[in-house]
Amino acid sequence: MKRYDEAKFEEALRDAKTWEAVDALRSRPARLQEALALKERIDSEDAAAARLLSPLLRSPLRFRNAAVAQNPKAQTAGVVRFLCAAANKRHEKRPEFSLELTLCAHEIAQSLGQRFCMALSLRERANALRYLGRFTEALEALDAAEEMFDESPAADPHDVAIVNYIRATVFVEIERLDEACSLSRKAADVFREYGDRPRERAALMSEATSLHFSGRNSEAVRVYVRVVAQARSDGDRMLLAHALNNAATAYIELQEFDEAESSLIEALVIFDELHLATEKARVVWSLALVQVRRGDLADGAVRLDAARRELEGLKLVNDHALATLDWAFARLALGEPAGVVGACERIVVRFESEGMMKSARIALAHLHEALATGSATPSLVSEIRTFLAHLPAHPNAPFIFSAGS
Amino acid sequence: MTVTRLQQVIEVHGLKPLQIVREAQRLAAALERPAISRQHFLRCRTGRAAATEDKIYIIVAAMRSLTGLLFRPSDLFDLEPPVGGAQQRTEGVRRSIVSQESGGTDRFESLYTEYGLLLRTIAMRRYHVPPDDAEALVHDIFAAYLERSAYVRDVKGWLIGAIGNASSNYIRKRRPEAQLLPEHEEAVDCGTEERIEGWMRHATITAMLSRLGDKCRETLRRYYLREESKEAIAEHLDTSPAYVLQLLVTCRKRAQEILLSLSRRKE
Repeated sequence: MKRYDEAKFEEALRDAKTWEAVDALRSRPARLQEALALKERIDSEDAAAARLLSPLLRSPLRFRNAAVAQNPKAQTAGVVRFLCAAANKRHEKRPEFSLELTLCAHEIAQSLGQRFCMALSLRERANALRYLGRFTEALEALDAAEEMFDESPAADPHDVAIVNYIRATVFVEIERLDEACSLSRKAADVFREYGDRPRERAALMSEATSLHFSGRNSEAVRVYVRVVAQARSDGDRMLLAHALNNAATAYIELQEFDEAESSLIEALVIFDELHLATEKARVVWSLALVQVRRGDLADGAVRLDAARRELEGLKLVNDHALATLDWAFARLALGEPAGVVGACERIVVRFESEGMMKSARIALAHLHEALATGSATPSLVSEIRTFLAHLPAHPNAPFIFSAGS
Repeated sequence: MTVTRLQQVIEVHGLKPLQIVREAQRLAAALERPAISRQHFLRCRTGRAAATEDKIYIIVAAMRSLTGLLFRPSDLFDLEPPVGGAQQRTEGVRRSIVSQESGGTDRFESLYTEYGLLLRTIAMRRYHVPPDDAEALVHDIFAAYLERSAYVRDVKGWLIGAIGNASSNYIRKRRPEAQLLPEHEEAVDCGTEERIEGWMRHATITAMLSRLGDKCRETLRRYYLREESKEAIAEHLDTSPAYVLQLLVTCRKRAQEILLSLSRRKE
């Protein structure tokens, strides 16, 4: 058990300044009374907000019907804080509802005329818009939020860093990767300054991802390794596994297969411990791909076959489609096309927009035709696989067959 | 038939019993406390069953939640029965409710006093902010923290980051002609970390001494600060020098215990 250094302890006991500070502490200064009064006011506002809003948050309809923004009892900063926190919890699963909550929070904040509340609600609104894929509006909300975090020199840098982190994640989505990288880095520095390790790690992940997507794999690996080290020392197993997995993808592109394999194996063990079956199946798939990329096509094809069946069993249709194409590539490259036609005929992909579905169908039709006529080559399969994998990031890209041309 | 106090309040506020039961069940699930069934609530409402401490707690919470009024248990239940026993039960409810309400305030007060000292020290020694202004900066930081406590993940780190930025801003505003020194600009360096650790230790020892009992604190003050002999202290306390020695050992042990608990909380 840690004990205080006796010598330093005695030194402090003999120091008059220590005792002056003790007497000052015991006198409960006026500022403390002010702070306690402020805390009491905020607590009571928060409690009233919780009483008013908790029953309404059970359904969007109930919330809408209550017309909270028009309720005189709801005109408090506590209500704005409560709505923002409630929205934050719902972004992932119910982004439409979370957007509605933030709009209501912003309306109240505006009527209160409190800049911090307005900034908070705009930032949360941007978060909701990001989850909904409405990136332009998200960026507009973030710009407005940043301008309003200007009242506390002590807290503004941290608040703005959160804005920058969200902005960076939007930039990754819309492939403004250089900006994403520099903003993530900037945000990570501020989070470090404020001892906010979880957000620092998230910003580092965003920086690494933007480097990775820009093809700057060596730099990406360096940042992923920092995230791995931090996650390991802080015991954040989930992030550790994801960072290892992402690092492995960058290693594969750098053709550093031993590093990729060891990262994937560690990620696999952690995902297994965390009972994350889908993540585990994806890592197994990546390990098989490493085998293929090493040139061990026969063993790789066997592993890919097992991986794609597991992905199919888990109903991960798009992953199953890509893994099947990886397997088809290996089989064709081995000169053993048996079973490839049948497997590719069973490929199903699912995309959100009709435009993407149409492009995917055209690409797959091209594959089926080539397989039927016996003209399918590994490079055609590889091209179709790349096209499908990149389709979510490039939803308007048409399929143009170029293999062999 | 006697109308219970709970029934009267329900009627006055036009509440539906089922509504109260549902709210109580929701709160019980959220607070991880025992819930109440519809039947049991009916029996309590009609006076056919006495509510236990847990049931009183959850019914009061549900009534507060539905009406927005700060009901006390005694507003809804007869808590002064003729025999002993139940008095203790009432006290239990009161204590439970009071401790929930005041716990956060106590924690905040400790945070303010313990970290406040550290933050003032950083502002004054690292950034040379005058004491009064340092105190104002620290106060503003705690006010900002209260508004953001829902998303501050590491209080100590956030407060230290905040005092750094607040102090730098103070210097820039007050002395625009004076440039920030490198030690101000650098967020983290080993020297700064060490110094902050030293100030942190000082703040923790101060907080510990302020929490120590009066007798221990004054004995330690006499012995270490004023360098009084054990005989002089014994005379003051009207006891023997041997007892003073024993007292010093006990107080130092107690001090170490408090230090450990404070350090654990700050880690």
